[in-house]
Amino acid sequence: MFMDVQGPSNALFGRLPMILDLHYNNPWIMFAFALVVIGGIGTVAALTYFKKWGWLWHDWLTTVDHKKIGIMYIIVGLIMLFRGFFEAAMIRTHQAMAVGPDSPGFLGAVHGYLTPFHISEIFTVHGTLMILLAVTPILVGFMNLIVPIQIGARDMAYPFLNAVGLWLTTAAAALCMISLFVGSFSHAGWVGLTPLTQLDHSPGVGVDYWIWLIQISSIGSTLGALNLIATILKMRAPGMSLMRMPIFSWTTLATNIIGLTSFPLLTVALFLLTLDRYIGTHFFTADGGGNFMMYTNLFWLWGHPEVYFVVLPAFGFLSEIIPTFSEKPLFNHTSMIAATMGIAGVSWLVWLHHFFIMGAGPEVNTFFSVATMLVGIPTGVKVFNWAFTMYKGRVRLETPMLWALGAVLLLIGGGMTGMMLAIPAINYVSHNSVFVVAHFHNMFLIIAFAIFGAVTYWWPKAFGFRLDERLGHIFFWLFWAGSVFVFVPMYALGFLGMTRRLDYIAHPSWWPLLALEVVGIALYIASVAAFVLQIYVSFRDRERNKVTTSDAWETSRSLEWAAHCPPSFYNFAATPIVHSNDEWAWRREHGVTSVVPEKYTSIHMPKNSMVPVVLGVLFIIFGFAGTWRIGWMFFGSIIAITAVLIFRMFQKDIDYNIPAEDVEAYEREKLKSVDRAAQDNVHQTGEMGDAGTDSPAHG
Amino acid sequence: MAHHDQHPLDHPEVQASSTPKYVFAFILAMGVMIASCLITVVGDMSQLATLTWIGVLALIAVIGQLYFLFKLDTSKAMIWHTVSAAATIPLFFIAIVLTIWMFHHLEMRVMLGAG
Amino acid sequence: MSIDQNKVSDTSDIQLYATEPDHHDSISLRSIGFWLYMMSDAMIFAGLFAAHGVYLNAYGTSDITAGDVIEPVTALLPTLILMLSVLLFGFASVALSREDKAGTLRWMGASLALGVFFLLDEAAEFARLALDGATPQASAFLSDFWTLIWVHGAHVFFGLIWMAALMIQIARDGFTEGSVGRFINLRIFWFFQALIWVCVYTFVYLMGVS
Repeated sequence: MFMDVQGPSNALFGRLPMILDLHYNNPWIMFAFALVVIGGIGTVAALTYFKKWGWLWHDWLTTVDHKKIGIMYIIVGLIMLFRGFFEAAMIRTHQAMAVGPDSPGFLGAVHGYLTPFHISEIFTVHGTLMILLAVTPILVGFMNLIVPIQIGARDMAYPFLNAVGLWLTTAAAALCMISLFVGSFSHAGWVGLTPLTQLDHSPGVGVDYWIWLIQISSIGSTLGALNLIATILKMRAPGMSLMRMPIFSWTTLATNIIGLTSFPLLTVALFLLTLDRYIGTHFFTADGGGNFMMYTNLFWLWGHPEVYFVVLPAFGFLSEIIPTFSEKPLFNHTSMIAATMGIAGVSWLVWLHHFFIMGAGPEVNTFFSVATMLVGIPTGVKVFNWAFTMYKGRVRLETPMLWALGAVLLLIGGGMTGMMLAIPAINYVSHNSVFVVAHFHNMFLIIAFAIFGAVTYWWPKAFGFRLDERLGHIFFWLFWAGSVFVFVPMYALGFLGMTRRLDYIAHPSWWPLLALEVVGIALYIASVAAFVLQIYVSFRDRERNKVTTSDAWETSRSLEWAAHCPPSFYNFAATPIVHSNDEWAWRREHGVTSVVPEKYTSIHMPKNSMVPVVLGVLFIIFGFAGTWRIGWMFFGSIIAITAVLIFRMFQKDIDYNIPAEDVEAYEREKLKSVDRAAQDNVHQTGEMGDAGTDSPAHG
Repeated sequence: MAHHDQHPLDHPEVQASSTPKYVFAFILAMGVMIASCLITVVGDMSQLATLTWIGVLALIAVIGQLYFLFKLDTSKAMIWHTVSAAATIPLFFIAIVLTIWMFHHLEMRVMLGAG
Repeated sequence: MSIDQNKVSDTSDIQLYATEPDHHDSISLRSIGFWLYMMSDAMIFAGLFAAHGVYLNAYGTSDITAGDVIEPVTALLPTLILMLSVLLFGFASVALSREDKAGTLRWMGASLALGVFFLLDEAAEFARLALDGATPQASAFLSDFWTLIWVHGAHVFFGLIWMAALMIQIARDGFTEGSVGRFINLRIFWFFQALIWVCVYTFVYLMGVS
């Protein structure tokens, strides 16, 4: 029943004996391995030396607090982003070296320094990882961190499930790291085109790693999506009608509707591919009636909605940052909501533009082309709303605003080239060229800009101190310059006819542009250094950068700015009552910015649980066993996962109550510590230490 | 749990259970499937007419089940269930219908009408 | 703009914070979350049905056609069993609403037994197909047919495990907020797989031979 595989394999270890035959002579792998080992040993040593294991386990790994889960999502995402960036740098430098027949080869490569198989692996990991394990976790992390506070909730609807989602994503990231050293990763591109991913063309374990880690992270994304939707629908504070909800929460809702309904199609596509690879069915084969265009169709049925899954939260970030730093309400809140939901709706009708050239005929291509162009309308509405928000506002160019403005500018470039690619006639010419690569990186840069803006914007909310402004500016300008140097030449190379995923460039005339891209990469590396330095310096000077009020930017508008910086673990001591679209701005204008409720009440909270961590470990085993075809371990892990879920079902002691007195004592302590830090500049009113009353003169 | 001021069995979703509605849903589903079966096996309609009829009958059964089994309606307890179903069903059909439409044209044009 | 609309002149009686502990209807909260998961699950079947529409006549070189493996009249028997199982689960739900623990467990047990019978019947049917050479490896159509039926079968299988575990919990703990919430979700799940089966019967069994 199971497919015969190449190389040694047995019942006990599956295909693992294969690794005995692999030669670990690739210096790059050794370098990465050394990096991971040193980093790992360093972390373990530091945790042991500072006696932080208990802290790590009780305060972080087993937590069900949405804020900590959000922060952990973002940390996982940033680590993966760093790895993905490293791979991008390798691709760019290799391509700039492997130009023309006379170019020298190093480290076993004929040209450049990466062998064709290795560079194929690298661009596959780069794509898979950047989209599914870097950008998605970072965005989901922000949704976790901000949305419950922004809608005035205590926690997510299902705090336990939230932790499960995090640990499934982490399991997928762990599998991705394991694939670097044990076996190999897929070489078939992040879209995994069939029949290249079939067993006879990809006999190794790379494609299997790719399949299982995506499947595991998809389950995590699905759980996260339904959790956020239920949170937004059911947990809003009194007075916060849907139409009063801040735009970031709206984009979160729209994004997760897309995620909830589109990830299953990726699951189906990969499941059918798995069946082809493992038991020899004929879904995507050339023989037996199979149809490999069906794979492309199912993949992009998920793939295009996924694009909006990642871009909508970025639009949400911009919609929060721009009003704050323009000191004006967002222009036309209602049309922004309509535009968000409009993009989410149309996102389901456009997937075929990824394969116009397949040849489905003019009527089909026209339908999808027109639907694709329709996306421009709601997106245009958003751009104009942001512009009108800034119009006659008092624009302050602090770091988050710089990132937001950069993102809006990039959206013009990315949007225009998107319109070009939506036209089938142009698409036939530019398909598979680096013009397409430049376009979608341009779109992803919008997301990256919005993410860095959001990191700076919400950092004081999460940690209680601001990031260094000067280094933030340096980071922004270096990153901006890097983006221009990498992607403007790439657009040009696309027009010149350079195709994607090349390991060797046959036209020496393209070299100057490729070299310019390397300049951009150098700028990017400098920008990463500035970012790391910014975080280090800000952390070092955290006492000086400490935020003394709940409203870190003094002109913030939405409800999360009514909670402490950092918020108490139960978010609000008493549930806030909402009166306006921009609740915090409304309170500031009415001079009612007290963060002290009239009356403290008891608070009901979930208890920490180690079950999500255990599930994460079991899913790593599941994915690993699936990849290496170790039958007993694979089915054993399924049984173990089911058993753990049933165990959880019978757990009774899962929540607790904090009495009102304890809440009051905790809040007093919190306010006192804020006061102490703010002795110099806070106008204290009354013995309650009313830290939120120093609203700035406004309007 | 600390915060239930009502007994769990008084919850509207528990109290929505109803023997006549479940029996009716059962009879409707079985009746529709037997009718479709008869149309297909012993009916002598054209293929298109048969497909249309069994499609319509299946739709009736599905709507009947959504109403009588899942109790989807616009009441406060069920409104978001209804809205999410109403949002998902179009996506369900978009995924299926547009895929089949696309492959229909694709096969005519690039696969010599095979498949 | 929005601020002006809600401008209040007297700020003394604005209530900023709730004075009561928040109330959560945990059963409703669980059920909407699980219902959303079912929407996601429905899209899995959307993908499979879309594939089915494309592989309808994809026999490749195999001479086994849909007509050889699909017998709609015979398939009415498992259909009846599954629908009866759903009906009996409905009766369990009615017993639950009357706080009748013994009745709930009895009807759940009967529903479980019919579910097991359905799976065994389906397994026997597909074992016969495999013996006749109609394996999933034979053609794209058969790959699709086996996959679609057994993805539904996997739903039934895990639903039965869930049902058994929940019966133990209700027998031990009675009707707590946790067990009743789970019962409501299982009811959604069990009714949902029946809904899918109606589509499977119509679009796979009937369409396959028409």
